[in-house]
Amino acid sequence: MDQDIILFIVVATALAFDFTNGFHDTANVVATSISTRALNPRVAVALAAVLNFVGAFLSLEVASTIANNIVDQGAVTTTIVFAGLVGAIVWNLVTWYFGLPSSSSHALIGGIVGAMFVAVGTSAIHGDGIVSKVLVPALIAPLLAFAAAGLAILCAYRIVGKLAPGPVSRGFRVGQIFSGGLLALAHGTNDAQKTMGIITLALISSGHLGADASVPTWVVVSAATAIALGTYMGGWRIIKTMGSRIIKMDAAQGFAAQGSGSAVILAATHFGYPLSTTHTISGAVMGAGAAKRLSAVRWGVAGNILVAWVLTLPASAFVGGLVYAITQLFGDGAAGPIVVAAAGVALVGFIFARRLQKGAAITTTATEGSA
Amino acid sequence: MSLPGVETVAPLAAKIVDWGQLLEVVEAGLIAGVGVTIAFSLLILGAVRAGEAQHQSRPLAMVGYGAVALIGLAICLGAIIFGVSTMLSK
Repeated sequence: MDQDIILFIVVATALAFDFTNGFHDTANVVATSISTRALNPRVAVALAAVLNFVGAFLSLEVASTIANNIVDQGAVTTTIVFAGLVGAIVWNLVTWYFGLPSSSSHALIGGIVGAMFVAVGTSAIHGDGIVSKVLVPALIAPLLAFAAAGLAILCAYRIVGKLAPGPVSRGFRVGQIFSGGLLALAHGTNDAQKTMGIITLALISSGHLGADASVPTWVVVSAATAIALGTYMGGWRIIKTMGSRIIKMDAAQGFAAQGSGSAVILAATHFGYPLSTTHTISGAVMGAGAAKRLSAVRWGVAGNILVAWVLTLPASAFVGGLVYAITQLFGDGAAGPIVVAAAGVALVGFIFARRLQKGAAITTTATEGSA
Repeated sequence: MSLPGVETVAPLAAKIVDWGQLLEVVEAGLIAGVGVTIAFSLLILGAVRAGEAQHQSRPLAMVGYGAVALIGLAICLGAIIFGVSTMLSK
């Protein structure tokens, strides 16, 4: 009975994480399209939501769950997964509050590593996996995207520089609809997969599924729906940072950032080296701005984003470990996860109630107004 | 004289990180990233110039720029197909 309750809480928490993932990472997909006026903000977010939903169905290979290569899967319990998810959700909400784009995948990895560290110790953590699958890609993605988008925008200006600006801007805006769409599909495929993997892992570890079972249809549909709903709600604070606070971009820069960012992500995925969407697109936006003029990039904002990236793993690991420790204060049963989940729901309810008392989120209006 | 610890860190890094694969990713990422934008810029250039040539009754220029636009379009469509097929296969 206890295991069933914990499993229910883990599934609900995983879907809540998926929602924050869509909510948090919407900016990656739509920010440049909105800031260059390629798309109306509501249309851009709705399109991204639909494509995220579709993307979640494109590939159903769950072989690489988020825990694969990072921790010893044999030692994973549903309570560890729960604590890791809470760590990731907390970090996603903190970075959303400050309007900073950070990797939801890194937050999830950090949360699970932290919970595993407190539960089992260092022996169950694969340090080499963290270096090769997390830290090296985290360094490569923004640098590669920065260079690709920088070179791309220089080439684009050279090719279309002598044309009338009107048709060029219109052309690049149309191109952004496709590059943004491809990015949304890639995001749905990658990120909804992680939640599906986590829920499947919990179902296997609780004995509801066999070790070689495929992902149940209800898991696919619920994960796709959660990430699409989160995307539709839109993290307007981060959209504002990505779309206009790093650089003020024109349509060509927007296309170069989105187009080269998507191409870098998919080319890397083709070689079996998936890169973080957040890191890649943030690097591409900076590259597209810096190539035009170094001072065009607001380096203070870029510095804040870098700090958030560096802090993501340790901060989410700290929260994940702390949550695991708190759950253990109530014993090995379902009481700990129930108390933490209830406290989390109450806190989120309190924040939303305060927000409602203060009126609509000003960032939504500001972003739509500026677009 | 090498820095202390370099002798142990370098082989460890080589063991953990597949530098060959990483180089492939950097090459492919740069080529694809820059290539897509160049192709789309050529599509815009070809389309705009072909339209101008049509207004100025220069059929040869119109065909030439039209071909440039078509090549750019073909590369962009190829990139989209490659992207979707990569998502389907991974």
